[in-house]
Amino acid sequence: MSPVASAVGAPLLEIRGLTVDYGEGPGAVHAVDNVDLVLHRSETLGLAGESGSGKSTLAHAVTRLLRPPGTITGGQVLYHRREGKDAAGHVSDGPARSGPVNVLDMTRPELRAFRWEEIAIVFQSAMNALNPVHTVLAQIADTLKAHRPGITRAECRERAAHLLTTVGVPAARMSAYAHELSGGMRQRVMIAMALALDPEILVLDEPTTALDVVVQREVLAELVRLREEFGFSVLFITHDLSLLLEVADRVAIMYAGRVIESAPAEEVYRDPVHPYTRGLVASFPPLRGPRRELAGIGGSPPDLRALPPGCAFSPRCRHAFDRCTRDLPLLRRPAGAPERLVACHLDDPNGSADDER
Amino acid sequence: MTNDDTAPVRAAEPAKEPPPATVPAPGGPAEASAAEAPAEEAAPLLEARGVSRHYPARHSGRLGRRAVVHAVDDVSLALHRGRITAVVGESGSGKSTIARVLARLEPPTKGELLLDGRPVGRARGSAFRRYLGQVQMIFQDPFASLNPFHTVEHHLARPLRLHGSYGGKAEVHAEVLRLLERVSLTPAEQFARKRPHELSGGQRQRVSIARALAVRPEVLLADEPVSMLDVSIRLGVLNLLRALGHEDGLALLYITHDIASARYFADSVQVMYAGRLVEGGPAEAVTQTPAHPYTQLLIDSAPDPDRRAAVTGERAERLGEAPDLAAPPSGCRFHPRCPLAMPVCRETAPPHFPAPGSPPEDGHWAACWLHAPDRQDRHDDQQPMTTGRR
Ligand SMILES: Nc1ncnc2c1ncn2[C@@H]1O[C@H](COP(=O)(O)OP(=O)(O)OP(=O)(O)O)[C@@H](O)[C@H]1O
Ligand SMILES: Nc1ncnc2c1ncn2[C@@H]1O[C@H](COP(=O)(O)OP(=O)(O)OP(=O)(O)O)[C@@H](O)[C@H]1O
Ligand code: SF4
Ligand SMILES: [Mg+2]
Ligand SMILES: [Mg+2]
Repeated sequence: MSPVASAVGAPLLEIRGLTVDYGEGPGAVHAVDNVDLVLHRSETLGLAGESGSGKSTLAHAVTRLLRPPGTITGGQVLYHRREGKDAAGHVSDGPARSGPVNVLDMTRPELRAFRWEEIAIVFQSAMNALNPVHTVLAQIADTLKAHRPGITRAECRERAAHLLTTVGVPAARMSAYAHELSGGMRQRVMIAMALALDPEILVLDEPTTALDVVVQREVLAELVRLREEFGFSVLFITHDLSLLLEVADRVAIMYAGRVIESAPAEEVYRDPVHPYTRGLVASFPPLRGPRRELAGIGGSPPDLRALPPGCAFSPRCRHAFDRCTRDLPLLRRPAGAPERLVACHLDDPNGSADDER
Repeated sequence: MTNDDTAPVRAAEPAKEPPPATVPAPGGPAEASAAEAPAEEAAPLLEARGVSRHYPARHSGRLGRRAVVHAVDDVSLALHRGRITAVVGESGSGKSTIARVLARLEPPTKGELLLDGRPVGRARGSAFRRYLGQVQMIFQDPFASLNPFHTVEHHLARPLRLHGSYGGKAEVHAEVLRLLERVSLTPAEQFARKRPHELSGGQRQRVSIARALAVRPEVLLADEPVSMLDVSIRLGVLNLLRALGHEDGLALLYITHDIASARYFADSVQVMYAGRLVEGGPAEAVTQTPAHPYTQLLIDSAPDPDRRAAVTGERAERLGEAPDLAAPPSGCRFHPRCPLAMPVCRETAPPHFPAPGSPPEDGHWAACWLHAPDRQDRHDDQQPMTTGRR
């Protein structure tokens, strides 16, 4: 996960024009709007952005776990399947088998195999996701048995102990019930379960909100180690930009259902371009050094049922000019920044003459 | 409790009960609004004295002994009007438990609570109802704490009718909208009609905050209230809470893993490890010159863009097993993992010593033998030894 150590490979999951609505007609909430995002093999992609901007919806759509009235109204999610895993669960680096599959076209049985084994997700509600009447062990065992028929009880126990230790929960806690665990322990149990079947893609939605930074660092270091061993990819959703800087290769920022900027993690933090991203970075209280004024972002979050014309951020943007309230800015590559995409009219050479900062 | 008896002990005499720690109003440097905290120290509004909370243990029946989980042991904490007290610390160290005890959702196994200087009994009568109106809790898990069948409006209107002085329907509705706007849930009319499953994680958290504020509590126990909010909305909500503190005199307990936000928004910071408080003091002092080895480790581990180290790097070394609260380590509970542990650390629990580097009147303390004033004289034959950390 460390940006330096990883050799990022070919595309593994390609999200193209993904659009998700809750409800239909004029009252529909456009939670995800025409999002393009590529997760490469062995890459950690960070996803941050405003609360309510569609990050969890995107994660649910990609795993086809969206609940009604949520509907995918457009786009594709292409998964580039790899040559089969060997017996130990290790994956050979062979070429992709017969082209990508569209996750959105998968049948139910295909989906069942796809989830957990190929893609595992830790939901934002992880703290609340454990079954209250079963022990941690019983729940890990259920997942294992469903996908590995013939696994013995002793093997389940052994695997559960191993997984829990991996995330820093003492193995003895496997006999605990959810209410006996702290918030952070429950989150870690869910991470352990997601790792149970050695998935190719791990989707983590705010997985560490209840972890202290020491444990967080240990768990993430363990994930880095596992990622290097097994070569999986991670989609990491969090509000903690400084954490993304450490764990992510690239970061995408969402606002009002769209990706408005993406770049290598370091660049997003050091040199944010989109005014919303700039506002985010300026809102961060630093832990060290002199105290500074925290700027914040004025105005209110947008109404997802009736977005303003043009750029959704324009009503709150200090730099907005007439084009911003007229044309929707599309993601484009700014000059001299080959790895960055920004959806903002500022400094757009194709813009009209009234472009100014 | 007055200010005087909160002064950290100076003698190295192991006190059985470390004196409760509170901190004089710091009004941290910079930040004008932080300095506006009431200067004159009043008695605490809500206080926990020597509170312990134990649970029956499930997993250590090996010796046939009925063990207990020491989730919270001998914690003293005072919440003052107009002040924000942050509690940071280890995952599983008892932060939520102490908040639940303060909210009277669970009785303490030992120790007592005082509201406005008066001991809080265990009775569940009208005094208890009044208590619930005065002391509100925001739960850590926003996915478990809202009723899936009720609208946001219902969640907010109920406490308004129960505890507030709002008469008519229209009045209540207007107040609901005002609350929603204060936590950036706009357009408020739309959010008022939503049900919890139609909300994102951060939106649920904000409904929980609005609901707790609806009652106009005097004490707010906020367990990770903003962990799922982006930094810009987080800033807005924390500013709101701070304004409520400094203007309306709200006493706020702010449990968080975001130490930087504790630095900026809290007046004092208390650090918890394995069921005990291990350090406390003014927010700026605790976060900038931490005295306890655990606090130092915690602050050193915080992701910091300006002090970048890959997660895989040195800072990620494993600490070894987390402490087993069914059989907590003897002496200082951090000793098995402490790089500076001395023999005395294994034997006797350290009392609160004044932290070096902070002026004594700051009330910055640490429960660590390293800071015993006469350590040199008493233990000069004891070299620090390295245990735990590989
Ligand atoms: N069932 C639903 N019906 C209507 N609107 C919904 C529903 N579920 C979610 N939404 C809306 O869709 C938007 C996107 O929600 P989502 O949970 O994806 O946000 P998010 O980016 O994950 O936010 P957070 O960071 O707060 O978790 C939100 O504004 C939310 O109110
Ligand atoms: N009902 C219970 N039975 C047994 N043990 C419990 C019970 N409730 C909590 N515990 C234990 O008490 C300890 C403290 O839990 P608590 O939830 O207070 O931690 P926390 O500091 O809030 O942690 P986090 O930051 O992860 O939320 C944990 O070890 C937990 O497993
Ligand atoms: S030096 Fe001793 S008392 Fe201080 S933290 Fe380490 S083990 Fe605990
Ligand atoms: Mg979310
Ligand atoms: Mg907790």
